[in-house]
Amino acid sequence: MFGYVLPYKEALTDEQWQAYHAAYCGLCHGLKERYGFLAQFLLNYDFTFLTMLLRREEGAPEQRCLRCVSAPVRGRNACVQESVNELAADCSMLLMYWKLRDQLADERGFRKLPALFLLILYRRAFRRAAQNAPACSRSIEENLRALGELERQNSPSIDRTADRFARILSDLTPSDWPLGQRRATEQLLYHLGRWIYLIDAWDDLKEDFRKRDYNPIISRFGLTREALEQAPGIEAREEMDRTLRHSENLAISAFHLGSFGYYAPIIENILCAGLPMVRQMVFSGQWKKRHRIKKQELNRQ
Amino acid sequence: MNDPYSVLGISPSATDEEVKQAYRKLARKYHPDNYQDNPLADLAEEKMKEINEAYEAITRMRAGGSATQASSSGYQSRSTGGNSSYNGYRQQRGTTNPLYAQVRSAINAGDIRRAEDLLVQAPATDAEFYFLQGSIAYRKGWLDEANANFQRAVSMEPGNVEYRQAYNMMQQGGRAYRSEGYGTGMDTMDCCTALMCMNCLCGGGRC
Repeated sequence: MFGYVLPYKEALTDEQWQAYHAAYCGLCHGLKERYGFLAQFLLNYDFTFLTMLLRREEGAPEQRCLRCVSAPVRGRNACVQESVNELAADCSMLLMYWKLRDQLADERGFRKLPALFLLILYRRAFRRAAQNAPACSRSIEENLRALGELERQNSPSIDRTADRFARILSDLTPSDWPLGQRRATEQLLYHLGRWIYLIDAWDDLKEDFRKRDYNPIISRFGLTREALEQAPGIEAREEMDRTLRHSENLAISAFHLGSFGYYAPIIENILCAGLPMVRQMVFSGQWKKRHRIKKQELNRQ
Repeated sequence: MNDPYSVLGISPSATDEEVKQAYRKLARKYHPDNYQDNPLADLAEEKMKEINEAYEAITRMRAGGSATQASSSGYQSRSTGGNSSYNGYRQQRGTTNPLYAQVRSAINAGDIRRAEDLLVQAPATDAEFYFLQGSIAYRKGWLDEANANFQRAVSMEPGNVEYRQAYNMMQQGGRAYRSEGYGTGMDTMDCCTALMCMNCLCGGGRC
């Protein structure tokens, strides 16, 4: 996925931050163990959120200090015993696979090559992921196919397109959870997925204009590149901001109705503070520049 | 019934003031206003009932039969009888059209597909039709379509309170309870501090 689902660090205690970090490292080790060294490149914040939300074990997770590429000497604490890491790893692999298949179908000539290369490189991992998580594989395949169809029709609906992506996430809810907990989790994941799809669409607006690619927001508001700087663009901006805030609110109100154990305070932080922070950065254009800005900050220090 | 103290998330040694505060916090969290037209409204209603019962049980225990204590306890008076203002999840909705009544009951039962199938049979597209179409979209999480339909219903029948309420909720971007520290201040968060918080997890680079 895309890495938009971050915590707001200022509002986390040190302990909570360490716990988040250990979950992140745990998933990284999980990916490596299950699918090899190359799979670690698929690690991102969105899936870390999923491991916290869909965790099955009760109480505090066991942490182990493990060495890795980014901490070769001292090592870092990682939650490696969590069964949910496997599901998150499978799902990362499968999403990547279908995204590449999509690219392969859409691009022409030489531009097919990067996708083809990666598909060959990861081919065995993909096959194994589909065997490990057949339900997840079916859901991703079905929904991304339908999404591709909507994109080809140049669908003007942000709801229908986002719905397909949102369903991939809500389908990850374990079917053996009690009904109330399951409904709350499904709703939370649905609106998180909707949010991710739409924030990514906004973030890609300029690039999609340039490449003349499909973008649900361009189709929905009939935007032109010039209009984006002027009045009609402002209307689209307001509408998108409002609908994204609404999805945040629906995810939060669903969160209050489930019980999410050990990671609940961190999940609450991400939904109540992390998502608004990222949304504001994407809308102000700072999100795209974040790596550059961070470098400047580091140089100044 | 569960232990009333654990329902409110407090210890039995909590003071009366702490009990009241814990109750108020939870009552704000699960308030029907935060779950208007929400597909999970029934779960929130259940929670609210649990909280009301727990609070009642504690005040009754602590009052030890003394009536003055119970009546002075804030939200208590409203929650007796099970039909308090906080239990206002079931809104009264008037409709004269039998088909629309069926659609409404399907929506309330959470059977969205049936509601959709019924609504396409509607012979005319009046304000209520758009309102119901909006309600169905909203429950599916299709917020943009819900907004457009509610707007249309309001413009066709501006005097209708029910339609206006639904449209206003869309214009606000929905509602949800946020604990202190995650208040509305988050919306005016300084983006520079936000950047600093985005401390990278793996020593500065992307993993």
